[in-house]
Amino acid sequence: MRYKRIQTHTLKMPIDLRKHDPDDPITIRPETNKAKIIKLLYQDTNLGFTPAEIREELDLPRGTVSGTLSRLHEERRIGKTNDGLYHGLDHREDLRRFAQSLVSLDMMLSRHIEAGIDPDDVEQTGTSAKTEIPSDRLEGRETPREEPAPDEWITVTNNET
Amino acid sequence: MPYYYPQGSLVFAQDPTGAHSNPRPVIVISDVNRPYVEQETTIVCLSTQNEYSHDVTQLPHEYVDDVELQKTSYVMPWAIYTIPLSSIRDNLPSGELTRDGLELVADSIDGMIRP
Repeated sequence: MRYKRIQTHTLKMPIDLRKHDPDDPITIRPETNKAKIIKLLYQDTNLGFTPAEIREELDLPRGTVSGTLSRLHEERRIGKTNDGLYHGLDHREDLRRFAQSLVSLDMMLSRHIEAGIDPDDVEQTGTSAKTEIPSDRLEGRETPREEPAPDEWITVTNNET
Repeated sequence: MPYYYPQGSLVFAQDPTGAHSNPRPVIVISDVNRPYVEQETTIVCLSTQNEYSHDVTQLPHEYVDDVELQKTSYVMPWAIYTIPLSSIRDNLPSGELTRDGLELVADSIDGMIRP
């Protein structure tokens, strides 16, 4: 793992950010290698990893990483420096949030290991809770905004505290 | 079509790593107006245990529609997380809290955060 030296440009045409919607849903299953790689690379987008480092860090079988990295790069979900380091993309707020939610999921499952309730203990008697999002909710979605720096946001008014 | 789980859904979240054997039952507390609703959801955990330093709230079986809880279950108001929507397994049972159930969960969380 190294700090990336060169900001990447993708092999294909660059993305027009005026047309790109960062709120497009991420549907990657958490148990897949894709999700594991995104979780690693988006924890700090300033860090670049070689494929070998990613394989070692995530304890993935040999031969599975390069293909997944290539696909993620082709899908423009991750960047690659000229010297072969893979990294998260600064402008992909959606993937950063996805990575954060994976970390939160890990935390939940680690802290609360046994619920004491298995799926077998819950009998389905009606319809599933899964629901389509109303189309009007998908229109005019907010885009992420940067927050002010801490000292511009909150100032100390009582030095004694 | 993008989907979500409405506020009050009782669903199972799956361990993505396989390190823990059982999916975990959780209740969705965010609603459709939540930012990034098509990508993630905010949940509170359920447990069958009730001996914690903080009070837990029993969830009566009649407060859940579309599924039947076969074990006494408690809401743990301090166990609130944001998880990816794709970690919720739609091949496992899922139901929805009644209005009384929603009020009970809200009161449980309110009891923790209100000074």
